[in-house]
Amino acid sequence: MNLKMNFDSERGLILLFLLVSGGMFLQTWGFGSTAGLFPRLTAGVVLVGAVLLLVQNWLPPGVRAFVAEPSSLIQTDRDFGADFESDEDGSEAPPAPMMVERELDRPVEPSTFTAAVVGLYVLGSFLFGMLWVTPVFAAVYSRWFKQSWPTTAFLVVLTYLMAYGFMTVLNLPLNEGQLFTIPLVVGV
Amino acid sequence: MADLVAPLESAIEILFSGQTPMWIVIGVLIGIVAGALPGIGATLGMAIVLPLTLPLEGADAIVLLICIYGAAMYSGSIPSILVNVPGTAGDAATTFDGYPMAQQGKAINALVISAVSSAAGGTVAVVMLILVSPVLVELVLLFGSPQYFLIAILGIAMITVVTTGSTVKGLTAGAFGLLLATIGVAPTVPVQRYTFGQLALLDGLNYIAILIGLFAIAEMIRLAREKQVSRSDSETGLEGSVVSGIKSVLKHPIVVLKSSAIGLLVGAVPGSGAAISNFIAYGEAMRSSKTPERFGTGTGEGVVATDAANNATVGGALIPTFSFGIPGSGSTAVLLGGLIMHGLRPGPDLFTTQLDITYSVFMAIFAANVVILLLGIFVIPRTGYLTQIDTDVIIPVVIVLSMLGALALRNNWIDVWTVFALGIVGFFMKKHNYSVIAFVMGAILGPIAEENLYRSLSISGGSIDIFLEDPLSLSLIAAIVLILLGPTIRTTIEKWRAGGRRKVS
Repeated sequence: MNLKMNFDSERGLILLFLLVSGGMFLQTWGFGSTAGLFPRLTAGVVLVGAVLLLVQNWLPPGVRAFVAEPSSLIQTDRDFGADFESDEDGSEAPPAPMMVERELDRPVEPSTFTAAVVGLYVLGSFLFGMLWVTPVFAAVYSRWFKQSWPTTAFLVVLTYLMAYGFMTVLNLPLNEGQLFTIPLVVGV
Repeated sequence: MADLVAPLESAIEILFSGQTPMWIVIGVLIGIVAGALPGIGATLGMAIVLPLTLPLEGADAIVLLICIYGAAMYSGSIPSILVNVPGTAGDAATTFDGYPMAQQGKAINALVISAVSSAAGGTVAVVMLILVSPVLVELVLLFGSPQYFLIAILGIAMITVVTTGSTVKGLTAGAFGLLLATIGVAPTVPVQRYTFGQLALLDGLNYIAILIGLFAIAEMIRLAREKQVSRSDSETGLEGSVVSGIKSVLKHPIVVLKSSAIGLLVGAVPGSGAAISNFIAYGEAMRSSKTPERFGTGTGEGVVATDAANNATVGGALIPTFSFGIPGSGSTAVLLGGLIMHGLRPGPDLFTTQLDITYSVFMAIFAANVVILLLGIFVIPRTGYLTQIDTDVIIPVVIVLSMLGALALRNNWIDVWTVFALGIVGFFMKKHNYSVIAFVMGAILGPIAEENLYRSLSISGGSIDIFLEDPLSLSLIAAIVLILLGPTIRTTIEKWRAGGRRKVS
């Protein structure tokens, strides 16, 4: 099931590259020769790359190796057990012994839930104002992951203060949404 | 040498004027927290802070970012030592000896060794950087528009082959970043591209929003799957001696120097970064040690090597970033975004008319190392609890900061939607080994590459011969071809050799 999901989500990603670059490639003909050249070149590279990745299983072995196999030129000594991307931000950190995949008694997988709730947070902020939706997001996230009530309360207050700080210091209209504006009563 | 003195004096003046010293301390503090918190690290910490630097002066903003970078590289060692979890990939090798030291009741020794060797490594790298800068100036001045276009392509090509995943995946990711950078009014002629008549899209997608989405949101979605094992399961305690830690570093000056040089050199290669330099430095220290058998059992020498190297990498990574606009890592990609955001264009200007700003950044690394040293000796051994903060508390805070930061960029909702959309795309890219750094580099370098391509073709009257006319351009093209085909050639040679060995046996 997992293998199937991985395969499907990778194919989805390639299809996204294909659709976006294909659409953008076609539109370049309307930009004229100067403004159209660079997007045409880059969209062309994405298109070719995406097509190659999509049909990699049907390619001759030599070409397939170039398309599908990892291509690290610089390698650290495998004896040390290092095999992760050379990004030093920690996002590609090795599977650490103190970080384990969580088992949460919830119907939705944690990453899926996080992505969905972030999407709702952005949509809600757009419609009703980020100042008001931010603490709601923090509360929903915290309760879903079964944090204690004091932790939830702390996150609600902290994130509201962060939003309020951004609004006042950077003069952002965070209390205004596209649907309606909730007037700011406290602290004006 | 005399050429160095005036800009250095000017740099020191910048560094100690106005609020700059305050930004150094704030940057180091943010960096230490970002590096020590599980799942954050240098890139994410810098990406979140980047929009907040908008009101700052250019030099202050870059100083703040570079201090976060350097401090996070150091503090990633704190969880490596205390809980065996590297804060960043660049601190992974620190776990080999740092964690065993902590288990032996020498956690404070290891933390102090980490601070002192990080500060020493960073300082040695800065000195080397200042010494090689006159050579860099000469080199950078050789480059014109055609070469800048080619070096942007070379940078993306290098990233694609030094990161995980296939070359085609890397190239596709890099080209996709370049493609997204073409949204908005063209930099060369006043033509709208992919704006669909929307005013909000006239200026295109903001690369900082792209950075935040790819680094912060994608990482938080990934991190939500994982759970941190409780610290109480560990036997590690904060015991040990500060003085012994300092002595351990002083006993190994050659290891510090050698590891710093390794860090500087590896850091200067785009895409390689601290994740590689700390392993190479560790291996070299073990190879040249009189007691190699002690490595991996909790020897201070191992921590000295890895931590001197990873902080020196910060200096090395500035070489391609400042001279050619080619970031060596995710962190330098954010730094490059900061440079451009504040009107500082990588290339000749940073080594001629703006040399004082460049040197002030180098000097800021030095000043940050002094702060790291002081905090590392007197404060950090008492703040191990930073590594205990639950990721479920960190994730919503980072997400909220990311969205607020995105809206703060231009008060344009397109940026917030960009952060969200690219967060999802970035999550799947990481999951399937597509280079996120190549994507980011494409998004940042897109306008620069396009401008230089257009300028080159204007000079040549539309002929691509301009890219084939001089030895420097030809060398760059040869390097691009070699780098892209290198892995395939290497695999072919390895197979051929293996076939030969089988025949002999």
